[in-house]
Amino acid sequence: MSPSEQYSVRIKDVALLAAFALFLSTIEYVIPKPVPYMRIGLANLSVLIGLTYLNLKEYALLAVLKVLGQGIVHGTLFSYIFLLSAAGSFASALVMLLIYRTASRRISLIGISAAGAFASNLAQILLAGVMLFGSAAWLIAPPFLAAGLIASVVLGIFAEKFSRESLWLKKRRGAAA
Amino acid sequence: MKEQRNLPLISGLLMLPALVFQQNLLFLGLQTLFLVMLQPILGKRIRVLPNLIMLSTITALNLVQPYGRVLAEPLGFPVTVGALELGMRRSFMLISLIYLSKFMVIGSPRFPGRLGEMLSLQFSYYQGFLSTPVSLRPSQIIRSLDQLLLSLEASDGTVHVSRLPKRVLMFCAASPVLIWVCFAAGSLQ
Repeated sequence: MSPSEQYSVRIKDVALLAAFALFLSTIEYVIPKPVPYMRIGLANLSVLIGLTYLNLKEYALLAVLKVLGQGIVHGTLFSYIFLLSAAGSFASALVMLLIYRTASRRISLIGISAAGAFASNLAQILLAGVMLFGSAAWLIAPPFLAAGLIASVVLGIFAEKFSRESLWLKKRRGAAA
Repeated sequence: MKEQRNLPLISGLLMLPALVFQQNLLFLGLQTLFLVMLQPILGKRIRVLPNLIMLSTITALNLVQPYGRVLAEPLGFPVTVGALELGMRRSFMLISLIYLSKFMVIGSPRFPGRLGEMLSLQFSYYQGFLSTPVSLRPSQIIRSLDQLLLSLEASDGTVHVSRLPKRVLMFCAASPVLIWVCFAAGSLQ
């Protein structure tokens, strides 16, 4: 395979993972939640998967496509919600990348997922405080962070299992090596 | 076709300043109501409960920081005019921008440049995900998602866009006029 063909395959991979994130966020959208504003963060699964084999540029592109795609599909692209989503996603993607690059031998995808969710929720609470709730944003912080932690640990366990069992991922990693 | 699918986006961009710079709470409420009511006309459902939750929680949390004249003191907690107005303004703004945003992307707009191409490819795969049945049973979910990724990887990636209905085009023209009339009326008061 020539370098340009390889590049084209990798770009298609990023688009496929970004579409996977959209699909997962659509599934999340229809799941009833006990607490308003609670998010499970299913779409983060594709970012966790991408983390394990994409290079830095492709990983950044995946994060951008995930945020833009979700904004378009859920119709929030031109609202505050988009800014909250973007802040959360980028904070989470950055923290997960830093942990994966520095400590992936000591920390599993479960820990990385939990750290990403914490960063995402913290960024969203800070921004929501500035834009919507004022200082009262800290009143919703404890349940918001606790729910995020539980959901991210479950997602991390799933990501670990998917990472071990997925034939598609094995194929992609083989192509990337 | 390409220009037509971008019309709701352009129309929405024209409406955006009239919402963001609206100073009058009553007219901001009317603009919000108009954008919400636009949804069923465009064939979309309105979900009342999430809007009510947003309106009530954002307003209630803003009441925690009292300022201005005290309206009432239920259980010793001061409900002030300033905090109530700010809370309502923020929630109207959020709800109106969400519905404006939904309106703007109704035609699956095409964005320019390489990023636009990437988004088109992403949506092509997304259509594939949605049109393929997936088992969400816990015992099969990983295998099922894996199969889906393998099958979509082999697909070509073409986007299918349908024509916008005439009523959508009509509202693309009429909505900015109505929203700006509300802005002007709010500014005059």
